[in-house]
Amino acid sequence: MPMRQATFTGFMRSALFFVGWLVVLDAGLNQLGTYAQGKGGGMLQLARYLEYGRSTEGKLVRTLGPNGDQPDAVVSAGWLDPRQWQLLRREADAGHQLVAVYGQSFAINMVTEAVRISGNLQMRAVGAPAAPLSYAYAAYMQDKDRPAAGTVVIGVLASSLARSSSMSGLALSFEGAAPYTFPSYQLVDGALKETPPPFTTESDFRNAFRLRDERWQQLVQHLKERDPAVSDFSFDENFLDHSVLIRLARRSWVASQVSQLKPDVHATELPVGLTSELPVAKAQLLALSLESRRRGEKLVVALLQDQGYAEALTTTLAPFLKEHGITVVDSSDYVDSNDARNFLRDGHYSHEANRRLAQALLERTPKAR
Amino acid sequence: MNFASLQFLFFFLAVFGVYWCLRKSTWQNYFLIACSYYFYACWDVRFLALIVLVTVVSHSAANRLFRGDLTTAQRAFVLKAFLIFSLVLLGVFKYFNFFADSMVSLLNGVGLEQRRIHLDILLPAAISFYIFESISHVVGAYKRELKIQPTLLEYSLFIAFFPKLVAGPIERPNVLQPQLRAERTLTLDKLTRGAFLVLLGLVKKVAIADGLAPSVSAVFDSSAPAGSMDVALATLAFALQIYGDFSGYSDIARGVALMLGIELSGNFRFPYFSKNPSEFWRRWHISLSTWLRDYLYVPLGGNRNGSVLTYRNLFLTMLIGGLWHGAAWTYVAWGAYQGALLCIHRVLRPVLDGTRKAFGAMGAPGAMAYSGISLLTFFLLTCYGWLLFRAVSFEQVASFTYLLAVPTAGLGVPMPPLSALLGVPVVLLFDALAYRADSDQPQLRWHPMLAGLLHALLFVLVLMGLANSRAAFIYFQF
Repeated sequence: MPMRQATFTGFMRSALFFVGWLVVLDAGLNQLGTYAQGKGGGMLQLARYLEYGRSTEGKLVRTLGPNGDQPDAVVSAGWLDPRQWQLLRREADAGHQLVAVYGQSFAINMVTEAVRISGNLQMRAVGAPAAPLSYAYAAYMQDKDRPAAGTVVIGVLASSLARSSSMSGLALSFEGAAPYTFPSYQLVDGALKETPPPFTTESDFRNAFRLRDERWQQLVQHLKERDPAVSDFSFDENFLDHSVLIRLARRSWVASQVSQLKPDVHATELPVGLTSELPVAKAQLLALSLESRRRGEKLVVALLQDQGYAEALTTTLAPFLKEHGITVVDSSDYVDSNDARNFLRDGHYSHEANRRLAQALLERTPKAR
Repeated sequence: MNFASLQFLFFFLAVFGVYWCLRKSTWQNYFLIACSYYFYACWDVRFLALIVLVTVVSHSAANRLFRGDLTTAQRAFVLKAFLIFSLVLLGVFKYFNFFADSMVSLLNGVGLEQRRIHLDILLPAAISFYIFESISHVVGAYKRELKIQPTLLEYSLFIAFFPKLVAGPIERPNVLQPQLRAERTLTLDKLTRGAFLVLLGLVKKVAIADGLAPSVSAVFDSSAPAGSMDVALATLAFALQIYGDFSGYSDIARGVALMLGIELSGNFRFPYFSKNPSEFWRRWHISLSTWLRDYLYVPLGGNRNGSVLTYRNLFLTMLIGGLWHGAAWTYVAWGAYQGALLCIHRVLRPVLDGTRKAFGAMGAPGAMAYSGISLLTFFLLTCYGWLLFRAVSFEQVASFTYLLAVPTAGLGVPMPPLSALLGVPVVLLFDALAYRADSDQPQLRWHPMLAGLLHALLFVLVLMGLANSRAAFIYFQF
């Protein structure tokens, strides 16, 4: 492999300067991030941007603080802890009807809007950030200790369906790790087999994480085995977290992993990750249908295609649900998921999109009108 | 397989390693052709049959023309037969449904009810690119202009060489074929120049084009009512997106080829610094515009038969150039618009020259002012052309044109990510420096410290851009 020896020195000098500048930029961006942390507006956004790529464990360490007891809304969100549900509305007031919703913010926002429009609906909401179907399924099955609701809404979010067996929200949104847990399900001889998470409450999580005990290790191992977007590089805290450039690279790496779970609008087949979760999802939806009938509640499954997920659920789950007589609100009938204007900057549906979905929900709950 | 993916990175690293271990160019060619067919099959393995068919037929046709025992009439017959073959192939795969639909719509419109005819066929990736290259080869053989008569292996690689296969540059036989025959060596110069082109191309693609895509789509692909500012910003964003996307692809293609010891033609030379349409087409998609010039405009008569026919030839060439981009009437409209700009510029040239001289008489500030006004005016005209190109229908063209003329409030365009907001000025500044230096890699002459800073900035932008959602290259569809 002949090389021009004459330029080798020049090449090495350029390479050294390149590496040197990377170190300078890294240190400069780190300083900028630290400075911006205490500021507001655009600077705070910049600080957050530079933090997005921190490892999942690294993010938790910063969020929980040195003693692990720092309060945080994301850490507290979504725990499947029936004791906390006692604070929620159990039944509707006179002249009203209760809608119980299980899922994530997308589904809860839709029901909130329906409540606002109708004037005679009231809501009981159990949800978690970006919660997958397994979470909604477990929440409904555990939420038995209440009078029957008029309508039950189960939110199925396209982006989390492929990660329904993750067992935790830690990796569902890499940029904002939410540690709530939920059971993982498998189909064994046609029946759903539940594997419970090692802890189910916030206090247990804080303890397990602080001690990095066996329960924590068990969850981490499960995540790395079952969540296709989780790896040592994305999850484990180490000295690399100090580098802004590594953090940017880590965020890019995770984005590339997640993009493989996204159906290509031009592709004829769904990604493997999504396809493998479908049999479990179908079994869960059938079980939900049976259970809701037993409880005397009307089940509505909201198929919520978030931005860029085309008609992923329309093509995979909607025909199945219709075949089994389960009522569906399919977002693709009302909101084009490829149209950026239907979404807020944080990824949620716009107000107008929510209004259309809420209207569709109200049309499927005639008694509430 | 997208250039901006880990899959391609691993593919290229493997190709690079094995390729340079093979010391003979023949073995390197065998290896590259296998890799190129694999690369192409990643889209759809069925497409391979078509590229092999075009390769074999065009190689056979050219070989017949290389033979000295054919009469002039026989040579003309071989050429015509091949041209019919290749254009029918292109017509069936790319344009049949478009023209059939248009014809049926027209007949239905005048009251002659017709059923729709639709062929259920996929558009093979890159078909326009490799058919144009095969035409160059056969026409070159016919005109006895080719420097070498390539073997089937060399020719197959000329057609399928993976860096330029799916989106160009549309290579000419005399540029690429001799390189495929020659022994190739890896030099640090080629390695560093190639790596820089890949880095710059990735910034253009992942930081700029992918970053701006959602903002563009929010206006052009939305049913929600847009405002004047939305249309203006989305059109400007699309001008930057398509430049980033297509010139980014070309940069990566050239960089990858260079690291394999092969120089591909430059496809872009700072097009947005053009001051008139004629200059623009010498700077934008150069391999297509020169192909259209040599194989369409000149055979039509070029500028040899008087003004009227020159205008006709210019207009027709651009019209067909527009249609080359895709089977849609909006592309035809874009081609017609570009043709009209070229004709109008030709008509106005004496007036413009007079104005330039008048400004020039005021000294350097006057000349600069004239350049600035020309550049800005032509950039705005180019942007309007991109509106035609990107619009999804003529109704949208009409409504957006109205909105540009009559200020109307809108919903706003989503803010692009930080990678695009930083990437656009960095790349435009680099382009301005390159334009001034009249070199596509001016940093080679900079102090290593400054060049190192540029490389580091581009690297950081790539990292930032890779976190954006990735889209396929726009020109893959052509």
